[in-house]
Amino acid sequence: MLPLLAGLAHHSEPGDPELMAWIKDRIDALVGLEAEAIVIVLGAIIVMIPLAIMALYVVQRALQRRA
Amino acid sequence: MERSTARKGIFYGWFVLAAGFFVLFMATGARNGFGVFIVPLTEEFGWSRGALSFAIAVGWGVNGLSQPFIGRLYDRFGGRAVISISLLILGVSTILLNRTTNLWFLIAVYGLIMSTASSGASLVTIHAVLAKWFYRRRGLVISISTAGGAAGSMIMAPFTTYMILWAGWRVSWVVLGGFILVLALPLAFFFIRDNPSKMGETPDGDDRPRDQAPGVTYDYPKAPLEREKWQESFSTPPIWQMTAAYFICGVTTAIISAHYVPFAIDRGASPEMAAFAFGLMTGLNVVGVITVGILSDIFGRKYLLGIIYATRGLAYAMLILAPGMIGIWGFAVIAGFSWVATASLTSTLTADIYGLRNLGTLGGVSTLSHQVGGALSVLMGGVLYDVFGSYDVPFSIAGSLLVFASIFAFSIQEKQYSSRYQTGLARPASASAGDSD
Repeated sequence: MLPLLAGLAHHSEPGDPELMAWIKDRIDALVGLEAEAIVIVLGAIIVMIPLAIMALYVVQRALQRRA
Repeated sequence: MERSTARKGIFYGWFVLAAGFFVLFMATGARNGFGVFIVPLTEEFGWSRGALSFAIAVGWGVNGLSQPFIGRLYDRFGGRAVISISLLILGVSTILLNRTTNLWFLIAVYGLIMSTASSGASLVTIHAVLAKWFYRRRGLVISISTAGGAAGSMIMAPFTTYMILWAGWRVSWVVLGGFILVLALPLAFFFIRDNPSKMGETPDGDDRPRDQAPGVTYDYPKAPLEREKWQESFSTPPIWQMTAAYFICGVTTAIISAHYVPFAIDRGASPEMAAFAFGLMTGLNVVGVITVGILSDIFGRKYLLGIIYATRGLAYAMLILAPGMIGIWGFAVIAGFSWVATASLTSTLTADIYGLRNLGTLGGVSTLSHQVGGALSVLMGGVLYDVFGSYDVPFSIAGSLLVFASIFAFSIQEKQYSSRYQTGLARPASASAGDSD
């Protein structure tokens, strides 16, 4: 089992701890915001995507009905 | 089909694409971000990195093994049902992770439940849905949806990192799960439809063919190698060529995902530089896959697929042979463009050749081969590193296999087997499977 785990012990996907620590340091150096501010900004981006899709659909349906 | 000249408003298929993009954004982002939880879990419970990597490995294996079965469910019940139920289970299981108190709970919830559910909200099912909505622009659309997964990983990972810093890992799991349930699930349920006819549309929003009356379910032309049973597809060469090439794709992507950063550090890069190079490569994914999607609708799929595998092989050669940071950066730039483009090309080619009837199952089988290749290569990388003291041997083995992947892709008889090059295709007598809305 140990060689199996040893091979998987370092996992450099986007969620890799060392990569994320580096990205965090870059973001901190770039914007200098507190963690909660970054969460709010990124969270707003995430929330806005589906809301924008829904809004676009509703608006274009309304325009179609008017036409 | 003739392009529509009388259309008013946006073709509904673009909303299906938007929903598929966001589903992959959330599902891939939430699942791939598990790595950011490693440090806080280790600090709270004292678990080793190896133990947590075992949970990741179980998840990876379960995700791969479940793909063909999920694909079969898609073919039987349709995308809207499978994707929505999968997102429901994914969201609830993600929230449930906040109750983690021991490693076996983590393995059960993340490794088994969450990883199986994410198979249902994955490239396999989303690509199969979009293949029904788009024909002329199938390559571009499937590529855009694939980019959603890459974009999700890029945004969700830092979001989760800062969320953990601010509110802790337990709250972070709840937030991620909440986003899936409140944002992704309603979007998928509201917009995803299995057949354009359900919305009074035809693929690409084109005019309905003259031999089909309006108001009737659109009959897709039968693809040249479309079979009643998915198993019968494996009596033909193209599925073997694509699956074998995709297996090698898994080998060559997973080994880099697991060992690229330590390799770069061994070559003299600082941890920061190595991480940045890998991040650059991930970011170029998005550009590369969309570019390839546009080109594939113009020039066809198999040549692009072969070129991508060959390009990735050149990137590997550069990585191993070029000195110092030249190899590291060269690989990041060249390979970055090719990273997920193979997924969209393989799905599109499968749809063109084998049609839509068993696309979920066939996509699931191909993905399983990809995951098996990935699992084997990660193990190979670790074991051979321990034996030889460097990554040169495992990377050389992986890179060499890309020659075969390229040959497999180039040898696909696309003009003979792809519906894009056929005329006068017969239409099936019954409606396509999975029209369950």
